[in-house]
Amino acid sequence: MKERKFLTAPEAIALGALVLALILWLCWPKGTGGQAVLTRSGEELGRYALDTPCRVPVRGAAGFSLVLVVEDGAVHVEDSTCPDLICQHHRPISKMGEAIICLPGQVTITVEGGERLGQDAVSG
Amino acid sequence: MRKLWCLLLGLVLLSGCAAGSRTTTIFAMDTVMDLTAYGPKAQDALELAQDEVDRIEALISAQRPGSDLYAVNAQSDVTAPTVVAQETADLLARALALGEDTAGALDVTIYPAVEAWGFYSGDYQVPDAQTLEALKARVDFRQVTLDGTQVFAQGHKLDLGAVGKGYAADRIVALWQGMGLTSGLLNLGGNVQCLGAKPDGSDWVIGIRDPADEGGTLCTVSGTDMAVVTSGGYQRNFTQDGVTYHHILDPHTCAPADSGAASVTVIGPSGLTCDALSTALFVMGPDRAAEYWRQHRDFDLVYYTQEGELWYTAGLEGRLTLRDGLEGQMIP
Repeated sequence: MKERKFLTAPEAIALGALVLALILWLCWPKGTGGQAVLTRSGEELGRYALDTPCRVPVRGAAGFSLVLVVEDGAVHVEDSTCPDLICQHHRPISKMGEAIICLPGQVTITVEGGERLGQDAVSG
Repeated sequence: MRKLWCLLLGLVLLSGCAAGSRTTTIFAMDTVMDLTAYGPKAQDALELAQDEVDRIEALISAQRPGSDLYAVNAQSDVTAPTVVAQETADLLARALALGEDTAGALDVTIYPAVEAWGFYSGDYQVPDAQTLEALKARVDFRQVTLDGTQVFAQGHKLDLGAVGKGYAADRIVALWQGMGLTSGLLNLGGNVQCLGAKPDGSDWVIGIRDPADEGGTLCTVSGTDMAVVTSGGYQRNFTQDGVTYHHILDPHTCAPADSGAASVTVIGPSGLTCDALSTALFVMGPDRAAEYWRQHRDFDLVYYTQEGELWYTAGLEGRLTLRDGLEGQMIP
């Protein structure tokens, strides 16, 4: 009777690949390389790496507009035409979970990835 | 060998499921809402939540034609009742009871004052003294009565904005619990509500915004199954002739509450109650708010004054972490 090997060559290769994929998935540095996620009326418009400076004109709802600015590893808003300018007065954000919201223009900018904020949400 | 493959495959699938969460952003109730649900039913939970927010807004928005409140406010015969849904009547009854309990610091008949200041339309203006006097006669929740689903508003116009988001959060949490969800996080325009604990079993950590620093926080509160609701004059305001006027109106003066509060955060199990009390205790000012808490003690409180003093209740001991350099005092 032919003796059955514990692993055939193809099985060994497949198992090795699976284990390697698992190790990579578990060890991959999640949370590094933060990016700003831009949405309008709940629809995602774009993603911008926080380590790459850029200026993005955004046309919001109800005719309001603003400019998303990424610089110095953070994102902020300039040149908003909304009436209350809360978005423009918000300080630059860079940590995962932080957000800038322009309610009149229904625009949100949230940070995904990067350093974690010490809180899950902010009341106020 | 086959068992080994099954085990590895199971591990891979499980690792994917454990991390399963879904988040959505909704613009509704004149604010922005972030909803996060965890678990295999997360996507269904978010869709259910969005439908529920839309349904509640259609029912109780004072501004939306077709809503129950719009019908009450449009009632031309001041002696005639307006029939509303049982749910609206129940919510109104709770709001009226909270009005009574807070000695009118919360008043659902504040609508004409909010309108006069332009906080509905965004066309802000400062009413003159004569207008304010006239408004006071139109703001009195005790004139509103309920008989089953019949609302007798007697010409008073209603606004459930001080309890609407809290009620919506309570409803979403109840629906999610009914689906078997054990973990979720809602942020309805600053009204934060947590279902259960975080997926890893640890407490949620909720920041409380610094009124003087957009994007900054005063402190964090940790816990599970809690609502954390903040009212502050910074949330909506306008400046005219160098004076800033905020949106939290004192029903007794029909003008922005000048109580000494910069922000008031109420923490408790009910989103509706926390929502209502954060407004009412802001209007009351720190001394009356502390007295109200002593008489009830079924919620917790972080009270931040315009002088930069932070007061908190005993139930937050061990759960409150203050920002570096900020000192807090426990309410005796």
